Formats: sequence, structure tokens, C-alpha cells
Amino acid sequence: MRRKKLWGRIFLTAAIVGVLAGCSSKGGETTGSSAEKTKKEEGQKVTIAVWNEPNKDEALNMYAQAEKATGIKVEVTVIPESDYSSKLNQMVSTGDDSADIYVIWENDIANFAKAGGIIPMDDYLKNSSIQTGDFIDAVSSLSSGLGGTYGLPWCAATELLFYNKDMFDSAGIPYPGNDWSYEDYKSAAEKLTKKKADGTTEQYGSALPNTQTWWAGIGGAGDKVYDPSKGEMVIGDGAVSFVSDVATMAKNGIMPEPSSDTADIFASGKAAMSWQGSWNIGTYGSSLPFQWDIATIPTDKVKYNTLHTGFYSINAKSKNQDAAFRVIEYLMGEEGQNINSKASGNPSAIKSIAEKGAWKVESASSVKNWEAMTDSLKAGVFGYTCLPSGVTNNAVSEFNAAVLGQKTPEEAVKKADAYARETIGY
Amino acid sequence: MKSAKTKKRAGRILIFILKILVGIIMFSPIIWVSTGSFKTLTEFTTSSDLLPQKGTLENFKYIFYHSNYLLYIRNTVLLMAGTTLGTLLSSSLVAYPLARMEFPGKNLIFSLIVGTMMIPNIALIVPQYIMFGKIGWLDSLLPMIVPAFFAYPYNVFLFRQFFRSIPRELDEAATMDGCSRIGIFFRILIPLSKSTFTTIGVLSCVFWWNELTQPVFYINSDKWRTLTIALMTTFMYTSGNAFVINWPSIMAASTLMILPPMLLYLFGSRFLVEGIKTSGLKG
Amino acid sequence: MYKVSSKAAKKRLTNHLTAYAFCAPWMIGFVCFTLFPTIFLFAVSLTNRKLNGISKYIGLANYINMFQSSTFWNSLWVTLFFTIVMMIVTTIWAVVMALLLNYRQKLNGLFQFCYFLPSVIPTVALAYTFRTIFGKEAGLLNGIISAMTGKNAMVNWLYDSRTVYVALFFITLFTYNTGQMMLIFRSGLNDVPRELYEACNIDGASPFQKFFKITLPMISPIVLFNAIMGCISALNGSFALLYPLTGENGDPNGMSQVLSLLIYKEAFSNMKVGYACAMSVVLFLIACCFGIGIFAISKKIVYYEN
Repeated sequence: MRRKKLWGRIFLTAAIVGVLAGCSSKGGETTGSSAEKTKKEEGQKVTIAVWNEPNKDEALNMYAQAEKATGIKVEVTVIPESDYSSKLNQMVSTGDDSADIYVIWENDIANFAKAGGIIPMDDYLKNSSIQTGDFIDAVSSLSSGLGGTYGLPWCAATELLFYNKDMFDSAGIPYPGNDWSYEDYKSAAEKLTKKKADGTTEQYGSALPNTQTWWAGIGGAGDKVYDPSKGEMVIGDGAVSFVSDVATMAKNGIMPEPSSDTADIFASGKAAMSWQGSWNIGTYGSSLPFQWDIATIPTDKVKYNTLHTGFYSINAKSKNQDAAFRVIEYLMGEEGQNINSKASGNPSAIKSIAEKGAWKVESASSVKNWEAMTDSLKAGVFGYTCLPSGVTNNAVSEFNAAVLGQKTPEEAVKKADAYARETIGY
Repeated sequence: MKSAKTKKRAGRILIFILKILVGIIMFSPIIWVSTGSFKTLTEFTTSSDLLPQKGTLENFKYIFYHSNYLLYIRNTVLLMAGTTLGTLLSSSLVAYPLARMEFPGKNLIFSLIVGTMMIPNIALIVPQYIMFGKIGWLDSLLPMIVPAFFAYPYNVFLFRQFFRSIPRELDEAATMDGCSRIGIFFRILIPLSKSTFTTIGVLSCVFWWNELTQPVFYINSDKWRTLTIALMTTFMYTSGNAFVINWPSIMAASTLMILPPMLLYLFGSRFLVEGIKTSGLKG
Repeated sequence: MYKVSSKAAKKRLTNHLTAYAFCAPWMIGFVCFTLFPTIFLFAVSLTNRKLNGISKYIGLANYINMFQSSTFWNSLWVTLFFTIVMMIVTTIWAVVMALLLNYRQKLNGLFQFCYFLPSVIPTVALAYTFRTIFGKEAGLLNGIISAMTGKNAMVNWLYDSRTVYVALFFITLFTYNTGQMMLIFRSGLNDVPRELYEACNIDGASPFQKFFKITLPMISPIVLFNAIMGCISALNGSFALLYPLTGENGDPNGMSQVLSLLIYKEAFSNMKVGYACAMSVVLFLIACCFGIGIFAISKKIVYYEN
């Protein structure tokens, strides 16, 4: 009798433990599956994964506008840029269906297409108004060779020289033009630098290149950066010369050193020039307390500009592919493209839409040299963005070590190159 | 005699000054964080003054009105509650026979438990990641909550130490009265060790409130972000520019994250401080 | 006679089975979340598995590449260096704080609050806080030094190879480990019999003599045990501190790239999961070494306590 009771009790505890464990596991899932259910019931909710926060101004928030235009609820999942590629790879490899639309980077689209993580959109495109024949050349060549249209470019961005007009005025230096040479840039940077009595810098001539614009400098100095035929990183003498230049400028206080409290010293009025992505035109808008303008990145040995884009693509695991395409259709249409341009300052990758100039951000009233954008886009190629982010981040970390004098530029470039080979060949 | 007294007095004052110095060093980050959360980004990156020139509430407004703050709190609380409940239940169950029963293999099991305590989580996280990916648990709290229901070695270890201090005669008496082992566990042991449960629960909550590593590996999307992850992602970047770290926003979010442990120390220091002490001493 | 003994045997059996039933959660957890991943870890380390799951058996190639990679060796030394120095620094600091607090004076409660509170700050928050305190242009520390010396201090604390370790180990003083040890040492100090000190006072011993002759020997077992426990949590916890602090590349120049950061970078930024597993095996073995150390020492301590 007592034994029965005992076994009963053991069973009971086991059951309780099991139920509790089950509950907890379900606790997580219920929310997920109920979300799925509503999705199914309405069939009208699409989640889109991007790395940028949507614009706070609703008129400039293309997702909010897409929601209005299509009647499909559009939810945005923001995954920060530093982790974006990695997290998307994880989501694709595990067959995650929490996002219906991915905005995919250049280096990932081929892999995702091969792994079957995203679907070809050709069937949809047959009956759609998206002008796929009108993409800028670099974009259409990048997405060809995949055996289908797996992604549609959400914009065409590039990198520019941003400069503080007030500082140029007070130093009596003429504004940079789109035909500026790299030597012009260096001598201007030196002249624009202001130092205090004790030798520390009060105003830098130029900000340090960021993880993106390092590659513009290296490409300009004559390196190929990326070899599309082999998918490899190609850096050498050009990188050595550019890294040495930056190191010298940092040593002389013309540029700041890399430091732990990274800050946008151009925006805070502590640097006269800065090489940055064109999307900063939209970010700065009218918020900077000084007059500023843009110019093409100065030309060294060759005119080199990195193109940036992202591809709208549909998750193969998505349950709302039709709705997802309808949202993409809106975003790729003239209205969607124009809102994106107005908010970010990035022109559309569709030539006929870009020509109309919606990307000339209205709030950035001090910008006069809009020519710089078209000029840069013309010279634009897909470069480092086609390489795995681990490789390029590692290289930038090596370059930074050289700037800090912890190794010579030659060593840094050699090590970055060796690491890239080791990784890409894996 | 007098000189010895003055010497002693001087020593006391010296120690007091030393105490103040150490106190300033240890507390300065907290002051820096909380004043920093009232600065604007430009001020934060250009001036090293401790106090903001003119305070702004923008950072807090951003957190409360423009981010999914409530969602992050919900996720963190779910994570804390799930893991703590799981580990309290399972770890105490496992600790019971190890502390109060004799059976073959007991020493082996106990050695294995102590042994697994030594393996840092980080060494096994990649295979666990693949495993959880296979069963579709990634991007949810499950990879962290479910293992909690299968006993954490360290907590088993702590429970065992506490259970051993309760006299065994109680068990024998209860068995005489016809109480089964399960009955003993639930009717005698648990009521007797309420404070133990509280302390281990508090320690577990503090751990999961602060935990970064596992969420970094397991969580991808915004939907399941915990506060610690949100600090590295949502609150980190200014919109539109991924290279400009929004320091004051991070400081504001950090200030908010420091508050609960601070309140816990002030009002529940019995559980926190005493719990930590015993957790180390019983080694 | 026979009946009774069989009854006793049965009773013993049910007793044992009950015990095993109680242990079942741990057994299942051990097999699913520790044993299986461990075996799996060794298996994956022999493949070229990528993040997307595609893998092929490649034998020991990962290990061969790893032992030829200067990044790995650097990381291994950084891990050992960081773990051991962190243990020493935090233990000493915890003892100092505990000694100060044990000196009974006014406001001790307030002091303990100030000393302990940093350790319950989330590590991420701590990391970001110190990135700005140790900042070059507008950091608090440079600001204080400037104000005190009258010169414009521009030390790049976390990026200068001469100061980076000073800064890093200073930050470890604020981690949970330190606070935990301080509290434990405090109660350890309280347990030291007062009579011993009184006897010493009569002898006219100096405070230093008292510390080295009485206090230290009395609390040394606890200090030792906690220090080694600290090693394990340093191995485990360094990721949460360093990932937000110096990034996956362990800037500057890989000087802070502990193995856990390298594992994360290889697995998730470069998608070389097989390779990352080979590194995890090394980390696993290091942890085992520390584990054996603690086992040997804890046995001695059990003796001491009994």
C-alpha cells in the first residue's frame, strides 16, 4: 500500500516537473505560435529585417507608408549593423521564419541563394511594375549569375567627403571640388588642423576613416580590394601607402587616433573633413550647428568609390511570400524609392527614378554640391562589401594597430591579407 | 603612552581616509553613468565634466517612447522567472538525495556535478548553439530556460550544503510517521529551508539580469532581446549612422538597469549579501 | 527469516530507486546539455562545418591550422595571462576592501554599499561606462588628470599598448567576482577569533605583523578557494566584459582577444564553426586543468574545515 503511494508520488513529481518544463518551453512558443496564427488569420502581416532604425518622421518612414499603401501590416526588426550579416546567416541556416523580408548585403546574397534561404522572384516580377531593366550597371552585374532574381536593390549609396564650410572659410582655403586630388586633401587637412599651446589638437583636419571608408582610400591608392572572379580580398602596396599616410596624419595630430570612446567628431565640430557614407546627408539634415557640404572622395592614383546597397529578398521559409512581395513592390516603386531617398539621401538604383533627384535631401539646406553624388556613383564599384564582414573588420583592426604604431603598415597589411586567405578559403 | 594613543588615532584617521578614497574609486563609475545620462551626445563626446551643462531628458524619452523598452523588460523578466523557477525546483530535488540519502553511485554523481561546475559555459556554447538550432529553439528564450529545469550544478552544490545542515533525525521521525521521501521533501525540507530558496533565487535573478553571453549567442531578432542585449544594440546606435555610438542613451539605459540591483541591495540586502557570503564559504 | 530479509532488500531497492528518481532531472540535463555537446564538440572540431550547416570530415586539419596560426597562439597567451592576472588583482583588491570594512568605524554600511554596488552592475553597462571613462578626447580619467596636473592629458588608455592592461585590470576590480569575494572575505575575517589579536596586542605587534601572522593564515584557505573559483568565472565571464569593451578583435592589436572572443569571431563573423569548435576544445582542456587544480585544493580545505 505504502509502496503504491510512494510510486504515485514519484509519478506525480515527475509529471509536475515535466509539465513545468513543458510549460516553460511552451511559454516561449505560445507567443510565437499565436503571432503566427494571427499572421495566418489576417494573412496581412509582414516582418522585414534591416539594420537601420526607420525614420522617426512618419512621412519619411517608407515602411509606415508601405503599410498605408498596401494595407499589409509591416513590422520592422532592427538588427544592428555590426552583427547584421552574422545574425542573418544564423537565421537562414536555422530556417528561421520570424522575418519575411530580408534586406541582404552584397556579400551574402549569393550564399543565401545557393543555400535556398531566399526565393527567386522571377515569377512575381513577370506581372509587376518594377523596372528591373533600369538598374544601374554595377547592381545588375552583381545580381546576374545567380540563375534568377533573388533580390532587388533597395537603393544605391556611396561614400563622400563631408566638409565643414565654416572651418574652410576661417582658414581661407577654397572648398573641395569633385576633382580634388588626394594631395589636395592631405595639404588642406594639414592647414585646417589647429593645435593648442601644448601641442594637442583642438581641431582636426580630418576624421579617421571609418570601417567603410578605409577601403575607399585603399582602392584609391591603387589596390583592387575585391576580386569578383575569385571572391578574394586583394590588398597590397596601395593599402600599405594609405595606412602609412593615415598613421602619419594621426601621429601629427591631423587625424585623431582610434579610441574607445568613438565619436562623430565631424558632427561635434571638432574635425573639418570626414569620409562617410552618403546616407549621412539624411542623418545630418539640418541638425548640425554649422554650414557643411559634400564632395567626391579625393582621387589618388585612381578614382575609386565603393557602392553600397542591400537587396530586398523573400525568406524561403516565410508563410506570407505573396504579401511580402506586395510590400517589396511598393518599396521598389517610385513612391517607396523616393521616400527612401528623401529620408536617407541615397539615390534609387533605378536610373529613371534617381534622375528625378528625390535624394537631394530637403533639410540638408547647406548642401550645394549635389553633383558629387552623381559623380561618385558613376565611379562606384562593389568592393569590400562583397567580402565576409569578419575579414574586413579584422583588417580594419590591423590597420588601427598600425595607426597606433603597434606594428608597421606592411606588417598590418600582410597580416590582414593572410587572415583573409585563411578565412575565405575555409 | 600618550604618543601611542595619538599614533593609534592617526592610524584610525588614515584608515578612514583610505576608506573614503576606495569608496570614491568604486562609486565613481555609477556617478559618471547617471550624470552622463542627462547629457547630449555632443556634450558627452566633447567634454569630460562630470555634471551636464544643462540637463536633458531626451535620452530617457527616447528609451521610453521610441524603443520597445517594455518588451525588453518583459523578456528579461520572463528569462529571470523561468530560469529561477526551474533551477530552484530541479536543483533542490537533485540535492536532496545527495545530502540525505545513501545509495550506490552517490559519490560518482556528486563528483560529476562538481566536475561539470568547472566547465565554463563558453567552451560548450558552440555545439549547444548548433544543437538548439537543430531543434528550432534559436531566437527564443528556450535555450536558456529549459536547461534550468535540469539542475544547475552550482545550485545543486549549494542546496546540498544547506540540506546537510538540517538534522537527519527529522527524516527518520517522519518516515516512522509514514511519510514518503517526496512527502519529507515537500512537507519538511522546503518549509525549513525557505531562506535558502530565497537566497539562491535572488542570486539566480541577479545573474540572469546581468547575463550577456548566452543571449548574444542565442537571440537574433528584436522580439526576444533582453535588456543587456538591447544595451548593445537598440540603445547603442544613433539612427541612420551605425558608426556613431549614442553614448548618453547607453548611459541612460545603464542607469535604469542599475536601479533594480541597487534597490535590492538597499531593501533586500539580507538575501543578497548573506546569500553571496554563504555561497562562497560553504565551498 | 527469509521473508524479512527480502522485505528489507526490497525496501532498500525502492529507497535507491527513489534517490535515482530525485536525481533524474540532473541526469537528463547532464546527458543532453553537457555530455552530448561535449562529444559533439569533439566531432565538429574534425569537420569544416560552416555556420549554414554544410560540413565535411577533414581530420585534424583544423587543429593543424590552429597551431600554425599566430592569432590563436596570441589568444591563448592572452587568455592565460588575463585569467591569472585578473584572479590575482581581484583577490588582492577584495582582501584590501574586506580589511578596510572590517575595521569598525562610522559609516561602514555606506562604505560597504559603495564598495559592493559596482559588482551588481550588468557587465555590459560596466564595459561601456569604462570605454568612456578611459576615453581619449572626453574621458573622465583624462579630465581628472588634466585638472590635477594643469596639463592637457591625452592618454588613449584602452588603445595604447602600454596602458591597455592597466586599464583592463582596473576594470576587473568592478566585476561581480570582486564584490562576491569581498563579502566572503569579510565574513571570513569575522570568524577569526578575537583572542588571537588581543594576545598579539599585548606583544605589541604592528598592524602589518598582525595581518601576516594571524589574519592571512586564518583566511588563506577561503582566499585560495575563491581565487581558483574566480579563475573559472574569469574564463567564462571575460566574454561578457571584453566583447562590449574591446570588440571581437580584441583591440588594440589583439592584446585583449581572449579565446572566447576568438571563438565567437570565428564561428559567427567568419562562419567557421568547425574551426571555432577546435578552439573550444582547447578552452575546454584549459578549464579541465583549472578544475583539477581546484579539486586538489578543495580536498585540503575540507580537511581544514572538519
